[in-house]
Amino acid sequence: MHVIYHCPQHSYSAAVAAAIHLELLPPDRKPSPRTILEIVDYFAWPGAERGSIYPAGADGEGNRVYLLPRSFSLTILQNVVTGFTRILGGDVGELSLVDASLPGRHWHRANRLFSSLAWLTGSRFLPVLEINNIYFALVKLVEGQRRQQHFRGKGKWF
Amino acid sequence: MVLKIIYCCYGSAHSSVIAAALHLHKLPWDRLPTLAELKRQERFDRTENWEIGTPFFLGCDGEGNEIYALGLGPDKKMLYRTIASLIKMWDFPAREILLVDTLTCIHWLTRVGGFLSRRLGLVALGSPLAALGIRLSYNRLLALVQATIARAQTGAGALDLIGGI
Repeated sequence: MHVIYHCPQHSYSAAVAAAIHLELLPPDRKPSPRTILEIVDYFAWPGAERGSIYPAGADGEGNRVYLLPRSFSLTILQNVVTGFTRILGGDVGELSLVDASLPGRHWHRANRLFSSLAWLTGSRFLPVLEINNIYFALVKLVEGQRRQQHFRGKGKWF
Repeated sequence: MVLKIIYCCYGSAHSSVIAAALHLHKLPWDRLPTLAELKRQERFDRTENWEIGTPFFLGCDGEGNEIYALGLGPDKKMLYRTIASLIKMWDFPAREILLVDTLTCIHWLTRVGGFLSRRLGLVALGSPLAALGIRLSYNRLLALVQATIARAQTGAGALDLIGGI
């Protein structure tokens, strides 16, 4: 199974979600801002190219986890990923494209503002603040994702 | 070697569809088509905004190459990188893919017509304008298709976007 976490590049939610998935961050308590920044740098997220898919590692079930920094337009990207997976002979059922910007509905709308402000100011404080607020929603998203893999018969979640 | 030849434009509604039709000899090579002939083409001015990014299979040419039309929207450089990553991820031979940018040939009337028809929903106004623009850039599109076919025949398929991205 290939699991791709994606979000706008100036947010850190995809990198943090991948870290939770790979058990690099704890699911039961919020990590410190410093830990979040270490994780973001570990995945070299700030220097990543928008649109490129980066391998992040493999989880205990053998699923491969990837990161995809993107722009704000989501539908086109989703269509390209699923469409090309089909024509390249990949199995769409083996692919999970997870929008890590979804958690924290109240923050979702602010995401664009935060991302833009972070980009304009070059600040790392705003994305970290966002992560601090949506951390447990990200944990929930990742757990839901892993449960879904179990239902597909690929994982051994329980 | 059989290639997957993908003609790319903004919304996969006009220039990529016509280039694919030219490649598949569904449109004449020796004369300009009428506007009615252009508008009769499969998928011409049909793609909805939510479908942009989906590669549409339009047929196979005489060599067995698969011909697609694809819209890449406003951020084609980003999506080009995504496609390149997917090719690596699924371990597909990059030599068997040919991306062709048809936007380099397009007439401004097609852009205006496409915007009116696809974005604003003014089909009655936008569709004929888009078709007229295609007719005005027809020879450039034909030259691009001929260059693509020549490249495919040499087996020189690659993950390059002919026409430049």
